[in-house]
Amino acid sequence: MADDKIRVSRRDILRGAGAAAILGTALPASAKEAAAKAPAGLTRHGPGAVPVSIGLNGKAAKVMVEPRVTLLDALRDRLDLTGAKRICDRGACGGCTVWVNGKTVNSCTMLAIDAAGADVRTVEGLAQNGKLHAVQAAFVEHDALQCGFCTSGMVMSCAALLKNNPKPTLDEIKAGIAGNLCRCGTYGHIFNAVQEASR
Amino acid sequence: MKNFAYYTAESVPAAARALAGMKNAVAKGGGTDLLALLKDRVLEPDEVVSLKGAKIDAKVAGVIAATTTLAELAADPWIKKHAPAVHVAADEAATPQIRNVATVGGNLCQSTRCWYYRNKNFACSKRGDDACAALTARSQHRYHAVFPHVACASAHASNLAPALIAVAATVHCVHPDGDRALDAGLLYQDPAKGRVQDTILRPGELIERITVPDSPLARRSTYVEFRERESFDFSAVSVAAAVHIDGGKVIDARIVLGAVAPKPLRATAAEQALVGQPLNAATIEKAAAAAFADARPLSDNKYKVVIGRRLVMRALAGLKEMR
Repeated sequence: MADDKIRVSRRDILRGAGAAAILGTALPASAKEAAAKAPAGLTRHGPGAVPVSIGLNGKAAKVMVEPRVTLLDALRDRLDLTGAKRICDRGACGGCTVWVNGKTVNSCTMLAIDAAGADVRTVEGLAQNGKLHAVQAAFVEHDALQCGFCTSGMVMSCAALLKNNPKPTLDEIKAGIAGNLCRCGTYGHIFNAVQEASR
Repeated sequence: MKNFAYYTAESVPAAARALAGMKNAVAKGGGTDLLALLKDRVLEPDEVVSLKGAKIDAKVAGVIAATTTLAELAADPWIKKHAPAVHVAADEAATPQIRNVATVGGNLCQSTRCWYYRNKNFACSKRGDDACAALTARSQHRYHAVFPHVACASAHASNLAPALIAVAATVHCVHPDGDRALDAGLLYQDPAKGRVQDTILRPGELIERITVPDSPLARRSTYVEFRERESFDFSAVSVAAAVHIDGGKVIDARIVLGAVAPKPLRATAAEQALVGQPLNAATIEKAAAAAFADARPLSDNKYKVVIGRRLVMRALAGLKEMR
């Protein structure tokens, strides 16, 4: 369709450029890498792009990434899941929080290759059968966000907290989301939303 | 970050052998500290050897595999009962997300938070420069050492290290030329020009396991820290303390200060002030004063000495009540 052709987003261009860059370097590198022998008891990956298979929001996904690519960058730039946010990129703000094998992690501070074979869940996979997760619904109900940038990470931490501790006290809620910053200061509403979702 | 070849290892000895033969390689546990150092190009290795999948036999109570996550350590009921200092230090570390990934071995080998070390625009003796930017007149150093080394004013960041030292844990290291077991207090050394690591580990030497003893000292242990934010923050001062009291008198004591020197610091003068004495308000105050008697704070971190003394008193008062 003519209409589709002109609707190229900034993300598509970035993704296209990234793919071209990988093709440009991966092919000669992989031939060299195949020749390089790993020491006994070790398995070598890269430095060129290597295939990484993960379970992603309940479906199998495969992505070609260099070993240095973080899980966050793989999700956002290669797998089209932009819910997890790249804010501090140092594991300090929690905006990139996703679940790996059911546990919250900072996806900016984990290599994609370290998630190989794992079950990864992002905020896009939290709602089931078109129905919002109780935490998502409570965030809407309690206006638990302002600018929204921390929200997807915050929701993943809150949902993980309730999964492990269905009836948390206020102090337990605070400890449970200690790894997520909200610069708008919506914490009070977030605490209310989690308490609502736990009822 | 610079790209690298990535290796997974089936065992710690295999990883150690491989690392000993590599020229510009680093070992990786969870990677929560390493990734920041790679992103900031403080480290630019050609090879990263991940220990994540390495099999370690650590089924006996009190034996902690180096690849254990901080979350797993914090949830270990044996540790909680037999080494409360270690439990609290693991449980208070970082954030839930980081505790789910960061490993015990990685925590012990992590780099200082010194912002001059982590920013290559500034001089750093650890990185091989002649000067330490933190020791210059106009530096920003409120989180730095109050027991600075002549060449380096960095503060050691681990909160697990003081706790493991206080309970007299043993660190089991693997090296192709021979394994060794060290008291956790002997794992660290003073800084030297051009040496980025704080531990005495040789190239190719890796921590495989840590053993926490079942002892009266470890059972009566505690960990307290002060940080500016109640949520995620590195400690500005931390204190791990353990005492063995018998017949109303302290017969053994370990007091370890964190985040006040380039390595975790045993306050031996404070320990000696307690041994042979009952643990009471007077001896606790004497020990707290002794712990910081030799402190030489910089102009902007004198507060660490004041708070540190209070933390020693708080830790020891907690131990007095503990059964």
